[in-house]
Amino acid sequence: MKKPKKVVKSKRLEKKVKNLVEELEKTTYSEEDLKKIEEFHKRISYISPEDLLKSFTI
Amino acid sequence: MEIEVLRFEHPFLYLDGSIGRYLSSYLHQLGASTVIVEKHYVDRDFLIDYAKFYARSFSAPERFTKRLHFFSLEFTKTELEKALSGNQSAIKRLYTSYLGFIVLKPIKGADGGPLVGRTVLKTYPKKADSDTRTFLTHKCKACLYGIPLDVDTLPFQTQDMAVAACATTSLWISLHPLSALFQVPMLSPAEITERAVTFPGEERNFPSFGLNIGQMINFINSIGLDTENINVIREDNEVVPNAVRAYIAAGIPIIACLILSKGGKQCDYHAAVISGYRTDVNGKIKELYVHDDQIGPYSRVKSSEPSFRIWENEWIKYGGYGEVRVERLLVPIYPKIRLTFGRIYSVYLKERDKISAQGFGCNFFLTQVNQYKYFLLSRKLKDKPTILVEPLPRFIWVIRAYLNNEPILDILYDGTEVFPKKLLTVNFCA
Repeated sequence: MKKPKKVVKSKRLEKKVKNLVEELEKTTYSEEDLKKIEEFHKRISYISPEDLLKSFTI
Repeated sequence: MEIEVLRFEHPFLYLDGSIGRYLSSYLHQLGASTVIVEKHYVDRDFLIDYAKFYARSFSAPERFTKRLHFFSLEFTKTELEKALSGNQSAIKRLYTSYLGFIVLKPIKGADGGPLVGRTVLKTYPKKADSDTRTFLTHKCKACLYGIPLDVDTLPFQTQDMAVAACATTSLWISLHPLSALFQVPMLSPAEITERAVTFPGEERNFPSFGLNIGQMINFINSIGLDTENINVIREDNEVVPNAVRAYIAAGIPIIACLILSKGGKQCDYHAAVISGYRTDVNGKIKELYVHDDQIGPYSRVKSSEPSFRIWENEWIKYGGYGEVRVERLLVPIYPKIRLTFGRIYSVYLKERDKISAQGFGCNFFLTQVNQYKYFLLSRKLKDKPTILVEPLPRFIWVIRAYLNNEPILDILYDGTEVFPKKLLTVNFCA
C-alpha cells in the first residue's frame, strides 16, 4: 500500500520541480532590474571615509 | 621534566579571570575529565610577539608558556606513561578522548587571570535535540610528547593590549581558515598589527589600542585578499543570517563590527568573529556562535529578532552594556570571488519569491567547485555524469530550493564574474 503512495508523492514533487525550473528559466532582468541590483549592491557595500576611521578599541 | 596529570574540576584552578572561567565552564560542558599540563611550551605566536615587543622591556616576562591538554576520559599519570612507552591502546584512548588545548601566557590580563594564548578546543556537538549546529572549522594538530592529536575547530586567543586589541585578534582568528583555504601566511598578533598600521590611525601603533576599519582592510589587502563589506541595513531583516550561512558554507570567517551602547548612547566599537550557528528543523538560525576575544570561543549569541542585528550575550549580562548592535560585517575573500554579496543577494531575493510560491524553502551560499562536485557525487540527481564533467569556475554561488532540509534544486552562478551569470541548474528530483 505504501509503495504506490510514495510514487504518487514523488511524481507530484517532480511536477512541482519541473514547474519551478520553467518559472526560473523565465526570469529576465530588465534595465530597471539591473539598475536596482546596482543600487542595492552600492548601498550594502559602501563605506564612507568617516567609517574607515572608526576604531575598534575594546 | 616532571609530567603533571590532573583531574578536571570546574572551576579549573589554572583558568582564572573572567575568560578563564568561561573556558572552564565550556570545558565542563564538553565533558572534560583529565588535564595534562605541559609546563614548558614554546608557542610560536607568543614567541614572535615576545621578540617584537616584550624582549625590549626592562622587566621582560618569561619566553615560555604553559599548555593545558584536555581529555574527556578519566586516566592517571600511569596511563599517560603507558602511552609514552608506545602502548597503542593507551595512545588510542588519548587520541579519541582529546578535547583540545589552551596556551597560558606568562602575563596577567586586566581581569587578573593569565592571558590566554592559542586555544584549540572542540566545538559543541553538531546535533542538539532536533537542531543542527554548523561551525567554521579545520583540522588543528597538536603533538603531546610525540603523541599526535587533533581536533576540528577554529583557534581562539584573547587580546594582549601590548600588541593586539579586538580587531587584530579577530584578524588572527580569521587567518586560520583563510590560510587553510587560500594559503595566506599565518602571522602572529604583533605581525598583523605591524602590517595593519601602515594605514594611519588615531592612536599609537604599539601598545595597540585598536585598529580602525581602514587598517583592518589594509591588513587583508597586504596578504593578497580582498574585503567584502556588508552593511547591516535596516530595511532588510535577513542580511546577517544570510551572510553568515553563505560564507560559513565556504569556510570563510566573518568579522562582525559591533557598536556597544550604554544608556542609549553609542560608546564603543568592538570586533568579533562569527564562528558558527544553530538552526531549527526548518533551517532557521536561532543562535550564533562567536569567537569574542573578551568572552571566549563559541560564545552563544541570541537575538530577540530573527535579523540578529541586536545581540544578547555576555556584554549585556556581565559587561554593563545596554545594547550590542551589528553595524557591518567584514568578510576577507579571495580576489577571484568577484560576484559581490550585494549583487547575488539581489538575485536571490528575486528568485526566492518564485521558489517559495512552489512551497519550497530557499537559501544561498558560496562554495568551491571541488567541494560542490564532491557533494554532488554522493547525491541522487538528474544527468549526474553530465553535470560532474561540466567545467565550472573555482567559485560558485548557489541558490538552493529545499524541502524538509533536503535539496530539491540548485541554481549555480559564476562566482568569478562581476555581474550575476547563471551557469546551470542541478535537479535533485531524480
